[in-house]
Amino acid sequence: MIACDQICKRFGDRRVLEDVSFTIERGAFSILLGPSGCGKTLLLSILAGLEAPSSGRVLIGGSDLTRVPPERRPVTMVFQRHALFPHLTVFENIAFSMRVRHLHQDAIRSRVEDLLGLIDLESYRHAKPDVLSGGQCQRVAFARALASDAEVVLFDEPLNSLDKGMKSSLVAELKKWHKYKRFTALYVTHDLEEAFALGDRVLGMKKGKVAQTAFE
Amino acid sequence: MAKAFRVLCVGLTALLALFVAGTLGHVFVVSPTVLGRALTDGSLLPVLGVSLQTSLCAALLAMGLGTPVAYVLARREFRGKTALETLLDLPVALPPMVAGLALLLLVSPAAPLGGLLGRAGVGLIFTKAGIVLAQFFVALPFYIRAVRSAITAIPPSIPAAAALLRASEGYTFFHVILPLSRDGLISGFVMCWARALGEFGATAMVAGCIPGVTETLPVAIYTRATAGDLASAGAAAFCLSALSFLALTALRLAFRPEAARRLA
Repeated sequence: MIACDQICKRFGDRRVLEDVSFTIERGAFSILLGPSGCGKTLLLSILAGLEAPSSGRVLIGGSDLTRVPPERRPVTMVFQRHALFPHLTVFENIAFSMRVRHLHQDAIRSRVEDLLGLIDLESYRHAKPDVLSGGQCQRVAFARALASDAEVVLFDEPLNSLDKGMKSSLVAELKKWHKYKRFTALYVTHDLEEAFALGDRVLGMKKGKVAQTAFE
Repeated sequence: MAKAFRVLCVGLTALLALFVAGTLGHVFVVSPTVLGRALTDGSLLPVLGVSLQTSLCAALLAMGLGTPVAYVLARREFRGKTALETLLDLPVALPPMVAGLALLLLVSPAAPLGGLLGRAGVGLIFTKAGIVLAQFFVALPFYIRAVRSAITAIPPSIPAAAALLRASEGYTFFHVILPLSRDGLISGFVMCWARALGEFGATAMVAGCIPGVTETLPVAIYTRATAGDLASAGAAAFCLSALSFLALTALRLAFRPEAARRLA
């Protein structure tokens, strides 16, 4: 479960987030929907630990993680521009978090092969990200997030730069992967169609406040 | 108008290239007999050895100590950062003689640090270690600047992604930041080494000129030219210029754009 408890964020005199509070149940796929510049990405960064809130608390699994650094949170993130490591191959990108955790080499290999099958990119295992298309890069970014075994996956408009056909195919795949892994997801978008296609629940955000909650 | 501007630009480029080539030409046009004699009579080889040894040590020291500093300057915001950046850049603007005098005062036996080092058996004045110290001091900003630029060019989402995949800052530094800054590390090292190789003022102040011990190529050029031995000074200048030329050519070849490399 993720909970935001009265999160505020100020930059000088400017209040960017105001008393943001909501709860997301374990295993749910929630959407944070709002126009550009309303503070969605900032809120995601606070949940990830990349930014500190000015006040309020972030609770994950019942523990207060407000001051815990990102590498010690059970959270991972899929970025808008995928943020794959350009010097590593597709295989190495997916294996990254497992190598950090010093998992056994055989376990890493079998897990990565499994995920490569899931994202249908087995033949690209030795390719570097610069030869992949935007959609393929996002697939690798999803697989890399799944390989981290994080309880919570945050998505920062990951399909934003893709064309309509690629977007709808990845939406379907994302739903499949969520069904397979049952991670808790918070997905940021400004696309209404994408929001209702993916989410169990939609949180509306406007001018730094979570304004409304809609259930599908 | 456009044509006139193009002619002006090409003309100025040609003029500047001619000026540099014409000046350096005097150094590169050294008689093979003079060069051969200087290299075989045993007077130039030890000087070359001291120069290569000390400049490589200084560049390696800059790499070891300068990389974490460049990382901090590229990635962190803190009070006094601008002042620190200016301080670290200062040796570039400072006359080398001033840098040498400052180092001499710092490590002289009368100074607290110099006294401490002396009691520990570490001598820096009139030694090769002193040359390394002077070269390191003067060349360090070149290394830090190159590496800091390379690290700044890495999008912030890359280290953020590493942190969100459970990597500590140290793991991210060694497995993500350093490999992605490789070009900056190499070019910084070469620029730093080339600057250390050509260092004269600070080196002469701290290490003096003891033949075979603390005599570097720039110091040798100065002492031989002032003693009237222009042929021998020319041979030393040729060695120094050739080394710098080779280093810069290697750097340019290593960092040719991928497309140009494929076409070659």
